[in-house]
Amino acid sequence: LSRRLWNKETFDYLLGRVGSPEAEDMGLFLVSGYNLFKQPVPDPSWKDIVLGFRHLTRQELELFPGYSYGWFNTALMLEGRSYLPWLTRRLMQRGVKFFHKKIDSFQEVSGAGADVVINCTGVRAGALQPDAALQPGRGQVIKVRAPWVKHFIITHHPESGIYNSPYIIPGSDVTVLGGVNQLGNWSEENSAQDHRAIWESCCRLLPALQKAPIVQEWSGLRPVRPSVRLERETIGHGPTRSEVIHNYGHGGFGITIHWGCAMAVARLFGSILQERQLLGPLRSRI
Amino acid sequence: MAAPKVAVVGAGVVGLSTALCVADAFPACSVAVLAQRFAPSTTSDVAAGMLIPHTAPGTPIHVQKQWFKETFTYLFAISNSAEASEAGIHLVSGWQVFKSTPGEELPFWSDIVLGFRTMSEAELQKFPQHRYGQAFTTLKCDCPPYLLWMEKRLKAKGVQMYTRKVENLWELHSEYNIVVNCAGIGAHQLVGDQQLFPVRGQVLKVHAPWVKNFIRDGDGLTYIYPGISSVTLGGTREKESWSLSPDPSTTKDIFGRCCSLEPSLQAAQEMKVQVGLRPSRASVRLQREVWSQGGAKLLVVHNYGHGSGGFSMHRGTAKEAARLVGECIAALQDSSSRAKL
Repeated sequence: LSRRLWNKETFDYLLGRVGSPEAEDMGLFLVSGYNLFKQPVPDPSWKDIVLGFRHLTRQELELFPGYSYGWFNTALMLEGRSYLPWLTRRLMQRGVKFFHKKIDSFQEVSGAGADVVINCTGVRAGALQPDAALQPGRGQVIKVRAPWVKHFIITHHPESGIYNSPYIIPGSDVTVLGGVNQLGNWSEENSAQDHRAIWESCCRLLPALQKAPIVQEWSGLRPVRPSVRLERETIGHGPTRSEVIHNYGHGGFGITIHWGCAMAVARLFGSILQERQLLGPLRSRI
Repeated sequence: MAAPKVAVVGAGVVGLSTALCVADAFPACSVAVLAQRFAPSTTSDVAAGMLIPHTAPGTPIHVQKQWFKETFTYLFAISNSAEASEAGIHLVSGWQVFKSTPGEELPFWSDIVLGFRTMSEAELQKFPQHRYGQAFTTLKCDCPPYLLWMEKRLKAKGVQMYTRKVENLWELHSEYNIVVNCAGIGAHQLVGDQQLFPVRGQVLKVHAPWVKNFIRDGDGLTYIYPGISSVTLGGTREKESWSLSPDPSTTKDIFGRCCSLEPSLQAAQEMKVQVGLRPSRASVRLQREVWSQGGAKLLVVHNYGHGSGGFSMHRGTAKEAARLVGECIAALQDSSSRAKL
């Protein structure tokens, strides 16, 4: 399964960097924690990708009344708040240009001189090309100041679906409480009802949260798709022809697989270059 | 007979927890805490407060295990309650790594901490200089929060706290019936215990909030313990050193050793350096004595000499000290009732 490969590639790549002096700048660090279930489940496909995967002991499960089974492992955190600026700096160092602009079509970009367009538009990819398989998975999170929380705690309720039951994730500055995944909901407004559900369920899960001050609340839209769209497409004909590489639809696991996907896109890009060489030298018109 | 008056000397983790156990067990007694230093200036405030026991040579293992288990169970319940953040008690997972495989592979406490197991090869790759390791989850008591939380609970029970340098326990005999000596390293001077000696520890407390796991070298000299508001980097174990002044070259050495274990610490900010003297002894002195002079009497219970194991054992030894206080109270009542005959 490509997803497992991309997951492994991403994890291994980041694990190789977590001991580097840049890790803090990247927002990259190791974190350990718990995945909780209400009944026994098969081990996940990523059990050998993460560090130290094991089942929870009975003593550990006493911490989580209502859950009778679970996993412990050490995984990686990659905080977007630091990672995106870090990536931006690296790209700028390589001469990559940034344009803050709304794009209305692929042709608009290829018409301006791009040989290849890489489409990483996430949840709004449908605006560039309709995609019935893509829909928002609305999430809401409460960010609290709880530096005594050192573990992630992620619950799984099969009847609710993924990301739709309480989770607690300790960051370097704030701890994120969540557990909402509403398919088809485009609203980016915080919902009071979701707030209550998240707060109450997370405090029940971890009573130590009760005194944590809330510092921020936020809603966002996961780009949900049955599978990630990672493929080439030639759009249009003649002078307005675009070579497009799609890379969107990562749902709630974009960070988890991003590097593997990026490398797959790079390989597709490489094959475009090879094809172009067969037809003549590549001339950039940007 | 009037309610016995109990003075606890010392306001570190041992003194305060002992006072709490005594106040809880004997609500009829009046209890006071007398100490030269309170949080944040005690030896306990320097320590990271990790529940990872050291094996004391002079105490039977089953007793140490019992004390550790009592302490762990007590703190585990607090960590999982709404009080956790105020009390400064939290779970933390991590690794103890060894450059050479230790003789004893299963420490006595391995079934008390959570999820104890040998590290996998993949996990060990993070520590290229180490060949063997143990992974587990344990508790950390952050100070001063834990001490301040105990002080608050003591005040709520009517326990008075006094800043006072006690030169000699006997000076308390006219005000108190029972004295519990939790003076830690202070007992060296206070009761002249020559078997008690300092083991100096220097630590750095840095701001590195992305460090979520503890790392400890099995030699006990190098460790990284993430707390609520800082990460404690250690350390040293200098026997018989009484110096409380931070040593700058030691600071550099500690920082260097910790950065080898966790390179991201290079980015750590705001370093504070602290020194504490572990009150070391072959075994904790947990016993009661009767001091008398002329017609006057003072019942003394000793509870000091926890060395590196203060946090790991405090609740267990506090309960034992409270039990000894109970024996003192019974003795007082006994002699008091005999006096009435």
